[in-house]
Amino acid sequence: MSFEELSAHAQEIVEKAMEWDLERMGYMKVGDNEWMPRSSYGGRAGQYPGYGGSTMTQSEVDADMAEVSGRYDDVPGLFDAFSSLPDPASFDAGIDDLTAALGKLSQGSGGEDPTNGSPTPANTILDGMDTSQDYLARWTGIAAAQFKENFVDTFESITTNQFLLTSYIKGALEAEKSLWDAARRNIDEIAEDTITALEEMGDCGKNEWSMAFSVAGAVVALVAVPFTAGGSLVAAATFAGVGGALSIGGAAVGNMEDAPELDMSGESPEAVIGNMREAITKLKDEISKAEQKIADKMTELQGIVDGHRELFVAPRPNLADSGPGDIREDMGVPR
Amino acid sequence: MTTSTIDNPINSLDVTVATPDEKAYGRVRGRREVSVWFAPGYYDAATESDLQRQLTRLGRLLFAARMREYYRLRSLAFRRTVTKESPPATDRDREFVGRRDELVAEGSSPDGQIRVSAVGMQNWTVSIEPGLSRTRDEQSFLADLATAANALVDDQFAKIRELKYDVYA
Repeated sequence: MSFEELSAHAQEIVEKAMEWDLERMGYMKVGDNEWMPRSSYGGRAGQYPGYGGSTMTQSEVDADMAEVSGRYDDVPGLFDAFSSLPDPASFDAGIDDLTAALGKLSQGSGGEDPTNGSPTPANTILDGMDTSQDYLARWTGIAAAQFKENFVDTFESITTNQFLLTSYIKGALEAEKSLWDAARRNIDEIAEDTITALEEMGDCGKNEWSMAFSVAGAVVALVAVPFTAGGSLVAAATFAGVGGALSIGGAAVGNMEDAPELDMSGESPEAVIGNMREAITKLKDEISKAEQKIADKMTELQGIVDGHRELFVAPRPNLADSGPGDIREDMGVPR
Repeated sequence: MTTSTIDNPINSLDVTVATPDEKAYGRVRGRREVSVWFAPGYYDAATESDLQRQLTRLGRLLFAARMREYYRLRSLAFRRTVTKESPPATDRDREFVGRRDELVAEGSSPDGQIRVSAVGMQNWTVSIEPGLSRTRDEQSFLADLATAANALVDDQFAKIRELKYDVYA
């Protein structure tokens, strides 16, 4: 992959396209970007014996050069737009942080990371909640009942849901990483294929090729997993996340769509570069669609969290807002 | 030719073939550089008629092998397996294929005593001036033959280019 060379590729595309056109018009290359009319050639420039027998004036030659380069002067700009695509590695720190968070939230059994199916070892500190019931056995009253109901009984479900939520956000970051990795590869392939097609245009056969937009398959669908509510499944909160094709394991349902292909052929620079322009437009479209898939999923996830906050966060303890004047009452202890 | 920023695998095309009786060998390297050689002792024993027959067959085999290798490398370059060109899809394609089949490519040695030609790169003819092989040593004959073969290849590429200018411009 030579993504870093995009601008050099673009320059080469322009030079190769111009080379073909100028040779067709009867010019011969005499140095780097230097051309002169070929007097013995039967093309248009050959009608003007001046340079080496051609009578073409410098201004006529300049006009030809300007006309030919004008056909392709949009090419560098088309690639410039891609030179600042996000670096896939820039998502690694966030993914690592969320992986560490998953380790803290994992309860072991059932703690498979839905974004890649890999088991996450249990955080044994969480086991302490099981024994807390023993410590609380002799605590009774309203506060005790509420504490058990709000924090002890729901602890496992809420932790599971937080684990899933963290995993889905990590999946979205992995999807972003895969997306930009594929996008960089795809734009580089378009550039390299265009150069190859220009180089092979002069060979004996039909000059045809195709482009597969792997960016469309970079964001993969995950198996739907319900968020749990203390043993009873809440259908409204079932969620199917997205993951990245780069990191996905057996948990993927599969690509959301097959990588679309664009068949191309061209026996002239105009045709080859016309195909290239079409491929770039298509790539932009596929990147937008892949981004939208992630955005839609994150919006849906946010909606679930907003609509079912109790599945993810324990309610605020009543005692948290109690003061010296009402602490005993809030604890259910008569004055 | 502009220095390339890509590594086009087709530039490293290199294919060698032999006639079925393994008397004559041909090689195409780097797309269009042709060389030919014979099995030891063959040249000295062969008549001009033998040489013409062997070289005609070699030309056809070498071009077929060159195109097979070309498509293999082209498949690598474009990441998709292609073994031959697709059927003509447009009127221009049909015109191109029709005119390509009739295209005559020719090449000859500097003294004109060895001449090779191919119609549509399918029907090959190799003409050797009568008596030439008795007056020339093998090395000098093969050098002149290579010159003729490379001139044919250059002629073919130049005419293909003209044809594409004409049909697709």
